[in-house]
Amino acid sequence: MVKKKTVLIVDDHPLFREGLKAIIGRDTRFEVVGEAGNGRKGRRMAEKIKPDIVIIDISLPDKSGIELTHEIRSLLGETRVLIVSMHSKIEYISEAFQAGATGYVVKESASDRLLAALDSVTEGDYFLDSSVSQQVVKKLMEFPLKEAKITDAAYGTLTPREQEIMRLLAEGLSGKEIAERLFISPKTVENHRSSIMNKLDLHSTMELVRYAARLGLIDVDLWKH
Amino acid sequence: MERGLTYEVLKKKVKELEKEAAKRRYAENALMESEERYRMAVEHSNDGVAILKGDNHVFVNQKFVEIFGYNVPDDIVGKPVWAFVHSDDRKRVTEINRQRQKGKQAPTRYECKGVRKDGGTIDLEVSATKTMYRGEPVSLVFLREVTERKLAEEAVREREAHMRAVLDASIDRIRYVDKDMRIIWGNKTTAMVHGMSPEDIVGKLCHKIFVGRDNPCQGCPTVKARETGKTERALIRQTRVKGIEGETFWDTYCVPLMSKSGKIEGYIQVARNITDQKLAEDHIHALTQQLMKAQESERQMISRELHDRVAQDLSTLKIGCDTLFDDNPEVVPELRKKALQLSEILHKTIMTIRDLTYDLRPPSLDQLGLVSTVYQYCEDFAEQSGLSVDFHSAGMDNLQLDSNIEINVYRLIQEGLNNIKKHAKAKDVFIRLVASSPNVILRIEDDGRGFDVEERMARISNEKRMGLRNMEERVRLLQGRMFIQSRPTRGTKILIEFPYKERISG
Repeated sequence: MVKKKTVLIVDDHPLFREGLKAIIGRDTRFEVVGEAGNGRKGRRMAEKIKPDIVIIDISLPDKSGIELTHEIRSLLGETRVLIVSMHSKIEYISEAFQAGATGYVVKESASDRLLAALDSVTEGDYFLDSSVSQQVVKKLMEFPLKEAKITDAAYGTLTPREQEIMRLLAEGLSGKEIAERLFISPKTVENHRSSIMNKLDLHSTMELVRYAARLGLIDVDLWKH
Repeated sequence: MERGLTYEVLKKKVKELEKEAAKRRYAENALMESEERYRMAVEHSNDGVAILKGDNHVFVNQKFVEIFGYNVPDDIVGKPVWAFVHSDDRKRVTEINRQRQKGKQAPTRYECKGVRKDGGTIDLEVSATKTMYRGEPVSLVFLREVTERKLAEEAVREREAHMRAVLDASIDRIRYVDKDMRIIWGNKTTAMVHGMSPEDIVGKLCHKIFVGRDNPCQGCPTVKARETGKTERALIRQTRVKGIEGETFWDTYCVPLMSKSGKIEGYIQVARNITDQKLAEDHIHALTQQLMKAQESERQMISRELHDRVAQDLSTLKIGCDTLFDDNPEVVPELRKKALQLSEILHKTIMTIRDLTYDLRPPSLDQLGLVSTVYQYCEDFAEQSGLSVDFHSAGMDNLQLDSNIEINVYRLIQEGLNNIKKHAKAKDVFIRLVASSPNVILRIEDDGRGFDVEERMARISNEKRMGLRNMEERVRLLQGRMFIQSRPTRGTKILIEFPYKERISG
């Protein structure tokens, strides 16, 4: 007979734990060997029992489930962690996996997917709840592209002082006027100016003004007609 | 016969005498001519002329006769002075005349009331002097009727008093100053609030006497009007106004006063104490801002509660529902089906709460940052509204903005977009969020039907649509400024600029 996989549940909601136990009870290959209502107790029990799998809720009363995941993974190399959480946003998911979890299930899908998740995790595979995996893949695919599209990377490399001077230049002030306004020498203004031109790959004041207008630094008609 | 009294001598003497006689004749003629000239002058003088000997008139000219409504000089000659003077002045005038003739001190110019033949009273201006007439001292009197002039003067005085009363009744401080800002005139209010009388302040420098400064006040509209020659207005904050405790705010005007030739002669200053109004306004702003802050923290709290408790409990319910019959294989299928339906409703409810949580306060603001959250919002908004929303940002990634600032920027964009959707009938919307040290620039522009900004802002407080007002308050909360540029059919441009504060770490 194959030895049953042992499971420890760490969640502060007793009724929810009951539910999880009931679901796990449907599959004879798994056995719940312990329960904990907070992170501290969860860690102690994990160290004692050395279960095959620990199911952890991210929101625990005393510490974050992410933290607990990290601790258990560094203490017990053989133990796998499956996160069962209310959170469905990508940041939580990525943090959980970074901390060493290998499975992630959203609480309201637990009834349907918990057993599949336990299966994958025991096999050493990663499991991601399909109700969130779609969102994750979508984000992964579009994120870098759109991020680049909506923000101007080159402008982001300007120092605060350069930003300040760029706007004054775009508004049509001369180097001397800017120097007077900012209480710096015209030479310093000139240095900043060439640094700006360099960073933004611009070659004339005209180009600089156009660039500033496109960013919205200065007012111009953005209308398409 | 004396020796030498010869014929030649006699002849010479006669000639000398003849010469002498001719000279005298000539002189007499000249004298007569001169007398005639004087007589003519007196007769045709525009002033009434009279000679009084003792109390009686011994000569009067035709004008004098006319002034008193008689026909010929003989109607008056021989009659006493008091017969032609009003009873109020009779004693005084008679006495002046007697004193003068006695060679004593007597006024040479005075006014009195006269009585005409028909009994009517007239105002007279008299100038008189002592002279000799046929070897005796007399009074030579010139007089002019000034009844009309007196009436006109009286009317002017009355009007002046009237105007003065109006100005004095004003709660505004009103004063007239010269080019050096010395007070020429001030109304009662301007002096009294400082514990002075209107006379006390005349000739004093306005800034010296009211706030004890040697130089004009900061932002003084009179200083500006001296440069521009136009009416100027300013809101001035004062910390040490004489007679008033604490900080005060003044709505001040200055109107240059021009002469007919267009030269500025002085300045009218009008100052109104609007401290109470200003304090009330500040109070309203403070309350509105508190309200907004409270609203945000409430939203955050509700959002958290919903997510961490309600949704959590619903999940527990769902899992309970899903596993309800696990230990009872003999349960009828209808019951199992019902439990499944309940579980589905719970699932939907959990999803709804998630959306609600997001609407209340996008969690991604704390997780993904402002730019991504705004971008996501713009995408969602474009999809729902059918508008094209073009959002671009620059230089924002390096700023660790305080979360209060982030939520307000997010709300500004939300409110701006909702305003556009509700009112603008626009197709394209442009949103720009740019760091421009030491400020952040936010532009929200649409190509919609636009509106009359001034008229709209004036109406705004009466409206239920508080979109713009809310935005203004939020901008104030960010210690920023908002500029709205809009023209009917030409779209609307909103520029918001605020100083950024970085997140306080720790």
